[in-house]
Amino acid sequence: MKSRNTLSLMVCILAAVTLGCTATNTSNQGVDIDNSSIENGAGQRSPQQAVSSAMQKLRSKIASEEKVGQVDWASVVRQLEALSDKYKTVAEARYNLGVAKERLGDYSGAEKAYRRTLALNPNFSAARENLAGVVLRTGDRRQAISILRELIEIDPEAATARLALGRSLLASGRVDEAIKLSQAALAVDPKNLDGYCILALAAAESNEGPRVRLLRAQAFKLDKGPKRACLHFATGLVFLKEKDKASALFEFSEAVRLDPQSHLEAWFRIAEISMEYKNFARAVESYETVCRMNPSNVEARINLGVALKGMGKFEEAKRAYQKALSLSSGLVPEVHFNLGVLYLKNLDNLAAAEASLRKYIDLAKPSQNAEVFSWIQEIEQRKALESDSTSRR
Amino acid sequence: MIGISKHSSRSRRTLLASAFFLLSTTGFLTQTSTAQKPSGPVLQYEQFRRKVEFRVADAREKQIEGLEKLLRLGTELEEIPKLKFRLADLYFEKSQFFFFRSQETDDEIYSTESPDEKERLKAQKSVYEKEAKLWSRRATQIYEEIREKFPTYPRIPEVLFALGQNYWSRGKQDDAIDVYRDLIREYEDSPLVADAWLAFGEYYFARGALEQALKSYEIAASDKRSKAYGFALYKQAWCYYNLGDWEKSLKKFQATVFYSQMADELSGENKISLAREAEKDYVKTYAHVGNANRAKMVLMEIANVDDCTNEKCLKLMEKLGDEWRVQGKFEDSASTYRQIIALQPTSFRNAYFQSLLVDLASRRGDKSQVVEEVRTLTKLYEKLAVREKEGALGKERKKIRSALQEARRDAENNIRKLAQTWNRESVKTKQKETATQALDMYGEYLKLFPKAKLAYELRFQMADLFYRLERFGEAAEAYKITVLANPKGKHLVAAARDGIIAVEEHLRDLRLKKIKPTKQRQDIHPERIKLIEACDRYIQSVSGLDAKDIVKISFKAAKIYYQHGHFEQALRRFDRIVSEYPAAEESEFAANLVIDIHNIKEDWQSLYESASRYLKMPALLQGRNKLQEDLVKFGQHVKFKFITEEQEKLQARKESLRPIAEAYESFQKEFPTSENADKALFNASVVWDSLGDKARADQIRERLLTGYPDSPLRADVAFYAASSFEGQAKYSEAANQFSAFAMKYPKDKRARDALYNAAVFYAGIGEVQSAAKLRERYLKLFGKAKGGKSESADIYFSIAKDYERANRVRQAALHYEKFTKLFSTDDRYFDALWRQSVIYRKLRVLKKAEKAENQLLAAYTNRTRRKRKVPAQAADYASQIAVFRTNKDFAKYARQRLKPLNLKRPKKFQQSMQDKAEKRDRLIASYEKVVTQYKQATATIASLSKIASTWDNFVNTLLQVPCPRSLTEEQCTFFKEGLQEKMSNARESAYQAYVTCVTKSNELGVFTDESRNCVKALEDIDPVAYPKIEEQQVTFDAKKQPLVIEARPFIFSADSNKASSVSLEGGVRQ
Repeated sequence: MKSRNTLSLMVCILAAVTLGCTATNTSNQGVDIDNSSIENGAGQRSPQQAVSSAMQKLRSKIASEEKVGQVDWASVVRQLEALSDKYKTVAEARYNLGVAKERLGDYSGAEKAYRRTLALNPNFSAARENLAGVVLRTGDRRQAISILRELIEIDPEAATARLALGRSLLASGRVDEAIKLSQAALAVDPKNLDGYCILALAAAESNEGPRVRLLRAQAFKLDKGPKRACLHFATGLVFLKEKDKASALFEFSEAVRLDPQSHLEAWFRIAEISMEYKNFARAVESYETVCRMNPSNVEARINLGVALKGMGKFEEAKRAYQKALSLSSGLVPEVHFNLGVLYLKNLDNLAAAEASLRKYIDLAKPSQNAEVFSWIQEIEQRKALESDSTSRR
Repeated sequence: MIGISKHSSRSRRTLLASAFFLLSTTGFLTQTSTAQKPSGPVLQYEQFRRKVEFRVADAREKQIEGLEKLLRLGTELEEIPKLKFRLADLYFEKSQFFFFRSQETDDEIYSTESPDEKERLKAQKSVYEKEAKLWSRRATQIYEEIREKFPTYPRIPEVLFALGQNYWSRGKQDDAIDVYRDLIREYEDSPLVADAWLAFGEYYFARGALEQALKSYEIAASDKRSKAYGFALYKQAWCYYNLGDWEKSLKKFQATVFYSQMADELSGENKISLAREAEKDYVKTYAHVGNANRAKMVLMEIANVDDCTNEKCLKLMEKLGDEWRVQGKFEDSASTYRQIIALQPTSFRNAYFQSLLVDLASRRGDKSQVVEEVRTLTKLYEKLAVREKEGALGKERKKIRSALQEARRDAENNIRKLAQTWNRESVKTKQKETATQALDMYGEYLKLFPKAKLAYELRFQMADLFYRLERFGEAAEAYKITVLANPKGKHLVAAARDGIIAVEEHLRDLRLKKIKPTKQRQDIHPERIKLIEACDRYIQSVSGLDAKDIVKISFKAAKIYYQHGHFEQALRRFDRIVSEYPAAEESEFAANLVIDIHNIKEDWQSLYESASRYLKMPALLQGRNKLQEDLVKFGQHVKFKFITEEQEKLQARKESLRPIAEAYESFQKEFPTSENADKALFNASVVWDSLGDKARADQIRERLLTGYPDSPLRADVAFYAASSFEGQAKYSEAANQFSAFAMKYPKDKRARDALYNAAVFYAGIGEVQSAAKLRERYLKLFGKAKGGKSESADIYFSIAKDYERANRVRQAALHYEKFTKLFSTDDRYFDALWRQSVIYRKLRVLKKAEKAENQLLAAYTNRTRRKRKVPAQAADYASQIAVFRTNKDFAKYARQRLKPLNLKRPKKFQQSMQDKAEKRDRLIASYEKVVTQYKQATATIASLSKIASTWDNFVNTLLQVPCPRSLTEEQCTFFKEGLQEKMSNARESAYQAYVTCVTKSNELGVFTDESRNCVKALEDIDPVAYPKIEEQQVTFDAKKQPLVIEARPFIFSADSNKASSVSLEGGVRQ
């Protein structure tokens, strides 16, 4: 029995190798779908081989269009629709359709394609991962997390899913769970800097400067690319806690230099330090970057208003606050507070100032209201004086 | 080296060759002893005696019937003998008829193959014979009856002659002679008397009574008109011939020729044949007395021609040559043939004549001449063959073919015999020259008659002869051709086997360089290829071979391929040996070499398959424990190797390693005692770890530790476990494991790294004491090792830094201090001094702080003065110390108050103000000097801040001066306003310094307490430009940030249903 088991294992491995080799060959050759030399035992290509062959052609097309920066995703989607309709049982065709639709921006279409892929092959990890991604894009964070949890259950090797879930849990303050997920992800994929990133952020959060430095040193041995940005950011947080703002600013700056598109918080931190040292211009620049990267970010709009006001750009500051108001549906008290101060102290619009400040009082905690009340009192007095002088005239 | 023994094979071959040779030449020997026949003419008497007239059978029967009827009915008396004579003649004719029929039937009996038909024909023949005798007897009876009863019958001589003839035909020559005697005696005038004498001549000639015969012939020839005349002459010549009277014989033959050319008496056919035979017999006789040089002239006369290129003359010449040859007059014969060739140099038949010359030369015993003649023959023959091939058409082609056939007829036989005889002779005499000449003969023979029936035989003999002459290369080639010539030939086995031996001998003679087995494919020497081919031929051509032979020969060829790196061919052969002859001695070697080849080719799959297959062959393994052990070892080794390679492939393709982990486990189960079993478990644990299945990985590691207590991998397991924790960023566990490893395996080469790592990880998780303890241990163990000094510096510094970070500042300061003592030349010397200064200042241990600062400044100054390399941060530290030092002056300056203004005695006030202003300027100059001297950001910002503060202090100090007592309140206000006004420049200087401080702070990225002071000052001084921030700023809310999962890309191959991007660092070790 032993030898039979061994042999069957060998056969299994050999079969895998053979299949693998075939796949490699086809991927390298770009075989024309109609003239492919790949055939199954009966002398005809299997559906998988046909799809592989077609995907090779498509890869060439996408690669050449990418070179000129104009990929016609609509056309790619049409081709993949035809392919997945023709080979209904080949999960890879349906999966690729999902990827193409995602690139096109058709998230619901992509979601549908991924779900159909999973119906064909429930163990298709990439499809489940991408499904979680598109569900997130459509705003259903809870469902996305549920999908990620499913994926982790099905595929213990799904490192990316673990890390995505870990990041989500870290943001929610569930630090220990985030750490466990990251460590598990690193067990599968020890070079994944995202794992180190989550662990470093968690350590920074816990004020464990040495651990952050250790994680950073270990991670930097593994990767020299933009993924290091997160580790710079975490180090920056440590420096902030150590009150070494210069070093913090340096690390945050490194983070955004390495990965300008990802680290909103680093931009925030740069802006905050700049504000503290009256470098309003840099603060404005940083907040504006955040706003560009995430136009719905209310916090950045509010702080941008403060920085603009620092530069004496009152009208622009007002517009920033107003944008923040519209983004937050007027529910963020700080915007009303800042608008009130701006109207009161810089724009001399007492009524607007009073309205904003009263709105603030409505939304904010009572403990924060003392100063505001004094300003309202001042406004009322000034309004009374103005009223008096008007009536005298 | 496995092969057929050289000596034994040589002697055996010689015996075989000799035996064959003797057998093959037996025919030759018997043929040479042919019996002598009595000399006599080709022409027979019967041709020249009276002929029986044959009629058509029906007509004859009618005539017989009619005559018998007449005789029965009765007729006139004188008619009776006439009718009876006629009837007897018809009976005789009938008798002859049946005789001929019986002869014909005899031919038919000979031709038919059917036994029944044979029997039928034999019966038929018997009937014919009886009939022939019957009718002959009846004829005789009638002839005798006529002789007795009708003695007066006028045609009695004819009756007597017929009777004699009848007796002669029935073999009763004596009775015939009696009758002829009566005829001669009683009817001497009869024209039949000459014929009767001729019969007498024949009678005596046949009995060797030549004198009587000659006399009888002479009498028979006395009548020139007689039809018997020509033949009687001819027979006289023969009588003389037999009497040895050559001259008379020649004359009589010549006379016969002339007579036959002229005589009308002879019928056409007899005339020609008599002339022809007489000519021939003339030549035959001339051969006894003639001269080769004159022969041509004589024969021209006989042939009655002027030129011997005439066909008739040439034929006579040829006949003469033949006669001489037969008589052993080889010189004369050869001369004659040469004359013939010379007469017609382009004749197709010259090859034939040349073949006779070969024969003659051989009969003369001149071997060199024979060789020469044979060579000439070969040239002629080849020319003829070429001519035939190249377009001879029709008759010419026919003639050429006929000539070739003619030439071949004797030449083939002769040359073959010569080759064989000489070969045999050389065996006996051991004469190398003879052997060489025999070889020449063989060579020429095979050139001339490559397709001859015996060419195969000759080729083999020639191969043997080559071998005997130690011309092994040629022997090998001849053996090869022999094998290829006839796959069913009787010498196939010997030729195939001897071909191998010959190539081997040839290779020895060539003294080729010994082959060093190589992994790289290299060209095989052409002669070695011949050996391989010979081996292959042996295996392929010879059926029913002894297994031992097949194995030895196959192994020989396979080994050559193996040694030259031609592994495919070698593999096929070795594997065949093992598979088909597992018990053979060579199979053990072959099996090992098969495994070796797979190993060289790194074809693990095939290696595994071969090893597994061989292990299932009891015949191969019986009594070969080492082989069995090796196969098991190779099998498991290669399976292990195969798994590791598959692992690499899957890793490269980023595919799941689950099958690999399972394969390693399966390996350990299959080969639990293998040297790789523990490695398999180890690797399985690593892969399961990578797959995230820690529990299974741990379980396997446990199996390794308990199942393989002596495994060197126990240390690996421990190290791997620690590394695995490190990979998962579980630094606490990693530190514990590394530390434990370092303690447990202090002699392991990884112990040093383990200790180092453990310390780093402990420090990283804030367990500074543990870290420091391990680092100190490290320094103790490895501080003096190679590269230890530089590492020691790192470690000392790290210990101090760890303490400082853990806020154990006193311990930190102590370690920094220790560092400066131990590593004064290290770049971090300045850092260590600076950290001491900072720590001691915090702790208010100013003396120690200043000591460190002094040390730092001295070192900095010293190095810069000597223009030695100074680390970048040293200037920063020095500049900050310079600022500290200046700050002391600032403190004094700040404390300095102005003397109150006494309008009567204002000098004191003026002096104190002057003094403060001077100090202010000196102070500013000092700070400016720090800025310009060191050009360091932090010190610059600090200096700018202090410069601003210096101005500020000056202004504030002045403004704090109380009004002179003598002034009224209004005057006092005026005084204060005046001071304020006077201070505007100083204020501006302070403001500008603050602005520069803040601007530079942002520019240089230096945010210190000083820069913060500048900001605060400006918020007060210029709140418009530097407003206090009253607004509420909002912090970044990570929770609200979108969670983005980067989409996985397209999958271009639909053959893989797994799209995870697992990548593993090479943790798997073998």
